Amino acid sequence: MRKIKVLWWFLRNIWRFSPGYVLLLLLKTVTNSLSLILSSVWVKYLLDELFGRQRWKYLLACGLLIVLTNSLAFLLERLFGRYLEQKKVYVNEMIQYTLGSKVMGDPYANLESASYLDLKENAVFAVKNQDAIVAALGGIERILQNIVILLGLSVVLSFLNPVILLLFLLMAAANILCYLLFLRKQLAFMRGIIPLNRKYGYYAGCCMDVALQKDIRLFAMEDLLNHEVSRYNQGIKEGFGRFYREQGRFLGIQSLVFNLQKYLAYGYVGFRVFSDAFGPSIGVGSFSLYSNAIMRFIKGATDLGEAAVEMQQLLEYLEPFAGFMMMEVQEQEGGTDRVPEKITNIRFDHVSFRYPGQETYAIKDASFEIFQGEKISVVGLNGAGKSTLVKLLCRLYRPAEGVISINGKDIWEMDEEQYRDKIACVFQDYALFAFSVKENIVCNGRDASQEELAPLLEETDLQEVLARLPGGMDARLGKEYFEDGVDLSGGEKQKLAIARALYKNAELLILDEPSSALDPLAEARLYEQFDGMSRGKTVLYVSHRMTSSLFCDRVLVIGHGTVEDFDTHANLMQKEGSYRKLYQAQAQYYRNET
Amino acid sequence: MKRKGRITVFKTGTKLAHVVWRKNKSIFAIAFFYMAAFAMGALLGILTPKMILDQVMNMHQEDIRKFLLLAGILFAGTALCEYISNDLSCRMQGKVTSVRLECLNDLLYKLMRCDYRYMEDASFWNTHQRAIAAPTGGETGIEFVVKESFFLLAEAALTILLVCMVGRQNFWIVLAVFCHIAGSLFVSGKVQKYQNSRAAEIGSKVRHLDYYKKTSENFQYGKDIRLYRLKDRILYHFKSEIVSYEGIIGAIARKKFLFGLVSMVTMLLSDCVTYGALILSALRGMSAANFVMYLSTVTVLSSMLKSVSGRISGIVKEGAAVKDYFAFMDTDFQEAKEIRAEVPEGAPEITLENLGFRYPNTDRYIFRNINLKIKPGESIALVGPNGAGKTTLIKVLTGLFDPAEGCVKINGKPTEGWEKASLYRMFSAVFQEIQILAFPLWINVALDEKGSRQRVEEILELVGLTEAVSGLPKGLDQPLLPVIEDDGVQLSGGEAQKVAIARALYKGGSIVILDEPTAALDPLAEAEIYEHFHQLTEGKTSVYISHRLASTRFCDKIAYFDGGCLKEYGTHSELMELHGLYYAMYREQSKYYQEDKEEL
Repeated sequence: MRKIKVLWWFLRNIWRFSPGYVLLLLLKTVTNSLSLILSSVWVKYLLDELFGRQRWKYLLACGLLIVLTNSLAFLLERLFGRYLEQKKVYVNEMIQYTLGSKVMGDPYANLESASYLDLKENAVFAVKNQDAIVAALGGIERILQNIVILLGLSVVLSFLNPVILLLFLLMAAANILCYLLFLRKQLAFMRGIIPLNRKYGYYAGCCMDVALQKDIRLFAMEDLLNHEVSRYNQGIKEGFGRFYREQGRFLGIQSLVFNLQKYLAYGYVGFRVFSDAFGPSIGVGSFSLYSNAIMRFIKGATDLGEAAVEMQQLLEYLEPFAGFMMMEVQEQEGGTDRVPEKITNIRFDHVSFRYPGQETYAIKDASFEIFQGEKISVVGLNGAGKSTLVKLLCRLYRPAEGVISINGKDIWEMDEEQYRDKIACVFQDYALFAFSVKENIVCNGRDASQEELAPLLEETDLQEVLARLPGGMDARLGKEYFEDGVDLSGGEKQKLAIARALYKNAELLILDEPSSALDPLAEARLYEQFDGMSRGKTVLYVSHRMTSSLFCDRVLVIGHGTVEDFDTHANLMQKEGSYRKLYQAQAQYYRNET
Repeated sequence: MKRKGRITVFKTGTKLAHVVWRKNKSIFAIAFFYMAAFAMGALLGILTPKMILDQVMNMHQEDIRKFLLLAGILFAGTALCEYISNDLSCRMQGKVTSVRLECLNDLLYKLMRCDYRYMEDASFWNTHQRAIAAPTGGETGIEFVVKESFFLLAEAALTILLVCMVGRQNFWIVLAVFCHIAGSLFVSGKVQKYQNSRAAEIGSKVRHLDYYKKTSENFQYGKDIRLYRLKDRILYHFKSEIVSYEGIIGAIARKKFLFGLVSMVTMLLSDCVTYGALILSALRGMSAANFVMYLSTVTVLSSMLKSVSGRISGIVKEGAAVKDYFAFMDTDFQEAKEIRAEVPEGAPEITLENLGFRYPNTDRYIFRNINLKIKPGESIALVGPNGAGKTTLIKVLTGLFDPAEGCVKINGKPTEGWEKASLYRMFSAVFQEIQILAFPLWINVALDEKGSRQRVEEILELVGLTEAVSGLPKGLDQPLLPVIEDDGVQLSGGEAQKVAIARALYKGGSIVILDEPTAALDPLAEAEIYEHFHQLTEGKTSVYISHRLASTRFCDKIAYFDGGCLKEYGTHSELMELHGLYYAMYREQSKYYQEDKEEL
């Protein structure tokens, strides 16, 4: 994408979130440069009067003008700065807010596509690690400021000699070129140091990793790790040493060039004092005014160039962000048909699916049918495709081939939100949010009273957990981020996730490995309560613990992305299939009971 | 109180200077030459317009050569000084970065040698967090303080020169400039104080915002957000956090502005005095050149004073982090233990006598009054519900934690006074969370770069990894994890578990510890791992923790823990006959399989 487009996107967003920011910025730059020019003009008049006719009134007036201009400029700059500072924060946060909003609104299938993921990662990285938005806001301010100052100074200097103006502008270009070369070197250096830094960071992180400390001591690993840390550290040190020596050389040369320009300016303006070869000769006041103006001009032009170069860099950082925000996501076209009130059957008809960018199919030609009120256990090895099946059923992905239907109707023909309202799922990697416990249960639903929730809490064993929490239902989760937050154990969280799913009271209940964080006793309790909790709903129970199959009506055996078998536990045990093998593997130790 | 603060600043300063001196002496020489070049360059810059004006105002056309010569000399002098000072300051920065990184290394190495009990102590990690801030950033802590002191030295020298210059001309101007700077300092101090008073609020808002950013962007939450329609709720909370964060920033900005009015007044006064005094001097005959020079000298002086005071307050502020660093480095977190453990020949006997443990500064015992004897070569299983204290018991047994009461004896000798490193050498441990590191495969097993590849090879054969290794493009040298090398391999759960077992075998400790080593595996992988257990425990004394009672029943003895107590102890069949807690748990787990057996 062209940088101009990124810049335009950025400016549009600033304007969108805070038009006041833009207006104040303009005001601030204009007053700044106006005061700069005015006070040097007043100094010129003061000098001329002081070393000329020395009239009291004029001297006093000039002195007052200088002092007052400075004070007023100071006041206005602070005043504008005050609001700019506040609005800057707002704009920065709001731009990130739009990113979050977009991610949550885009179709889920994008979320696991590598290109979408990469772009988002890059976008977030630039904003988080390079603080690119704030830096770009600063860059825009700097550019604008310099442009306005240069315009003002150009007017002043055109009184001295318009040609000389052009000459110094050219010299400033030399500075910028010099800077550009250095920046390229700096970039190359940074690029070189990043992998080194990453590796160093990994081993340094190992040294500090709490989870690794046991192993470090029991296996006496401190020297092994320290050796790696020191090795990469050495590389970084040498890199920095080289880089700084180079930077020293660059800064030295830059100051050389700058001094050359400075002394040329003094030479020229000084020459104009005692000679009229280049125009009418000037006085002390003009000497001071013009020499200062030229100095400021060179500085301003150089600074403008540097700011522009840096801005270009920042726009490059921001490009993934802008690109992500402007990215046209692939809409998964869904229909708008009404979802049937009762789900009488769910059917997979030769369904195949592979994740975006993947070669192999996660689900290949899977067919089965589930009827209302059935409890189905889904078993299979890790990576067999159980969780993918769940995601397909939740309509998070669209099958590549085949049809998933309820009551004989393709689920993709139905209205998305309505359809999802029919499903409650506890995903294997379920997420809870840093809201209150109650909000986590009711989600987008209306506020529920304590009494309404009581039976549910009882059922899911949450009552005693809540009794312990300060604030009970209103206790906020997420201790890491919120001072008043509380921490739940893995088992407690799982119970809360189950409560959330039950509260939704949907037709189809899916539980993906719901007992993985529970100890054997709690797991057994969950199994026992399972029947009551499901209240005659259609239930899918995913697990790699075979025991769950025993209280389900039928067992769906998934292997290598397809349905290997679908039958009752008893029947499956009669066959020489993979189910029997899996079951035996777990059962063998209990078998030889005396 | 204040006085005390100053003393620690001074102490920290000398300590830091000492560390810099030890690690890199040349920084001091560079600082000296930089100071000279910097002050010279600045003075030449101030003198230039004066000398040029002096020259041109009393000059005739034919003196042009003299004029050019003067400009040339001034140019050469200034340029040289500035070149040198730029070069030196950059060289210094490279060296300071090196010093800082070495300090970080020292800290990391120290951390790994602290006693393990600190590793589970939140207050230790807080101390560590504060200490590591000092050597971590290029613009904070150690690096900041050293760099700023370097520049401060040069600027202070220049300031003194300028004060003398201006003071000789007119003392009042110096006074006025100092007043203005004092005013600005007062203001920034007030603003800083206000800012500090709200720093905790800002910190918490930033953390809240971080949460909403992370949550809304995180794909892992995507499924639940969609299925439970949580987008609007998240955005609602997100937006309200932004607004209240903006409010705090706005309040600070407002304070800054209001206080700024004070420095506007002092600036007005200082400007009045400066211009007034110089105008009067000019009326009394000061030359135009001198007038211009003094005007710019005052400007430079004022900015130097501002810069010097800014650097001092920056150094004091960042000095706090440096102080925390030294406090950490000077604390001894490694209790000296004199006795070298006697490495027993063959499997040792382990005795737990009245063993009890609680975390320091807590009242609740994790477990207490544990009495247990594990005979040489015996294997024992620790079972029981979560939170019964089994894992903590292992930590006390291995010496990672010291007992609060009672003792652990190995071959009849209490281990408490033993030097940790030599005690650790006796244990071969496999934990639930396998820590695969980004090293070549064989180093992951040997955990020592000077280890024996041949032994690693033999052991991999034993644990059944030979086939998997020969499938790797680089065999034994295959880097693991794609963190360091792009071709780093991610092992499957079962393979990683085997590597962990190989590690324990390689180490060859006489006591084997297995803490839920298969909890994360699927049934087939689990069964395969079980097959290798006997290789591990053969001829060793072993302790095994697992939830799967089916796998622990083959241990010689089983100890059932609940609520920090040893409830039942005996062989599997003994405990089953007891019809107690173990029996209940075993039945619970095996009931589905049992029912099934009846069916068949």
